[in-house]
Amino acid sequence: MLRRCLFVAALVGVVLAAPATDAARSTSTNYQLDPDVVSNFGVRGGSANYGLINSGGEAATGTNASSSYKLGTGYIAQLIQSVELTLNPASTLTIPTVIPGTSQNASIQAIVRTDAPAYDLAVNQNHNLTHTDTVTTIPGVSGTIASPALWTEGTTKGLGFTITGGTQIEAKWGTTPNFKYAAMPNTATTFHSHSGYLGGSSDTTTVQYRLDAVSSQKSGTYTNIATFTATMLP
Amino acid sequence: MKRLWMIALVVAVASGLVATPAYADAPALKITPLKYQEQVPLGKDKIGYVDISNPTNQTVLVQTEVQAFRQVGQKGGLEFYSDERISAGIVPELKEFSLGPREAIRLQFTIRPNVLGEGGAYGVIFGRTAPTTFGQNNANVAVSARVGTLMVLTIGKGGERRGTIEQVRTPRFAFGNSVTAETVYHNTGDTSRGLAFNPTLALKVGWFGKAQSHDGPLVLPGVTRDIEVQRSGSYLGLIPVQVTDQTGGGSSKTAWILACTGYWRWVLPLVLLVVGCGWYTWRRWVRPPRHTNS
Repeated sequence: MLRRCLFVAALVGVVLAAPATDAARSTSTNYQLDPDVVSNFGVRGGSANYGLINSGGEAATGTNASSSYKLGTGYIAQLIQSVELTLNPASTLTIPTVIPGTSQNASIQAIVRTDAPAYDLAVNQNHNLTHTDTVTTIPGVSGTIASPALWTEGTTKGLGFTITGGTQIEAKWGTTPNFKYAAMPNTATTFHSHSGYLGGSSDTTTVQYRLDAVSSQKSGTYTNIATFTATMLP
Repeated sequence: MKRLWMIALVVAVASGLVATPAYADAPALKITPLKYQEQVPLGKDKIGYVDISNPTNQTVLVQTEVQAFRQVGQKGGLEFYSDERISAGIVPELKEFSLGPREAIRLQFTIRPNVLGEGGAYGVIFGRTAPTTFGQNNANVAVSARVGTLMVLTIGKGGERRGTIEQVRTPRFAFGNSVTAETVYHNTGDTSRGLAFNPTLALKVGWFGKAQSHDGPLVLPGVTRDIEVQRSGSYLGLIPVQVTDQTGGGSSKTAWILACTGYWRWVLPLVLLVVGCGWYTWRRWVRPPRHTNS
């Protein structure tokens, strides 16, 4: 029993006494990356074609900024001039069952974090909503991103999207309750731009999908893939 | 014996976690740099790198792709499209890979100038989260997060950088700290041989003084873009606002604005107040009374 206690105590002691280690330096013939940080763990992996960097346990990390300056703390923050996009809440957006004549909707948030002076959000779909029979489709609404159209309940049919929340929202998308809707394009097209530094914060844009179908629409499950793209606005 | 069962259970759970990673439910991805601008001579491939990282606490499956981009509208909005020349001339080394929680990958790509051909090449290297499987009910839209590094390349000796200022627009009145002018700038370069560039615009406000240079945003060949230039200072009265292109062509346009900016915002009302009070005092107390004949 005593021996077991001593073993456990020694194990705990070794873990607690382990010194902080330097994050790994990544090099090749073409580049050298010197993180120059002391963190509790850091890993480098790779092959001839790529390097894999993993850093964690740093005492202070993150980005501080205002509209006129930017201060990056920690190793990952040294990967400056980046754009990050998160789609919330999930990887699949389910629109509730549609009874023709009564539209249904579902929303998703596009959260962008960037140190670019301006950014673009673009969207596209791989194809119209398609039934599991792979033939029957639900087209988009008549409005386009360049010229979104008001939704008339009972008259407007198809899949459309609009922006219902965010900052610097373009006037063409309308306001509650008169949002204007566009069809999802097949080519990635900018639907929202944001100018000015974000000051270290993230910027959230809420996108609402709205769907109604004609009464003769075949019942069943319809699917497609929507891709949201974030880049800097050059 | 009991201890052996416990170890076996831990090993089994650990193996399961390693063998079947849980992919992120809220798709997220980060890429750096924002833009890769380079002049690449003909004849030799060039190697470059982008960093793609996973900001989530779950594993993500990432796919890479290369598309061309163009500017649509006068605000510089981007449209991305498939282009065989661009996708054959800018080649990422990996098409698909997994990133664990908080992991980053330095991805190598190759620019093939002989495939792209002399002139400008405008593409994007994208990293995107692989869409997950669909649900089994109703209408399901699988969403994918895609982030991109813009590639603004000049191949060989390139082409020409020429543009012209088509119009300068100003509001009728300017108050506040500065004067703003919206310049309509057109890149007159031929779309096949012309080059994208950031025009440098010189803004001169008023009759005297030096012009101030401003670096504008990127304008692709054949594209017209609205560029806002601003200059702070104290201006009063009807003054000219002149914008001159210092990059490609030297064109110049002038607009007129009625300005009251800077310290004039405070001095002018004060002067008006003093004059008003003086006039009232003179009328009320100093001016001799009128005599009327009754």
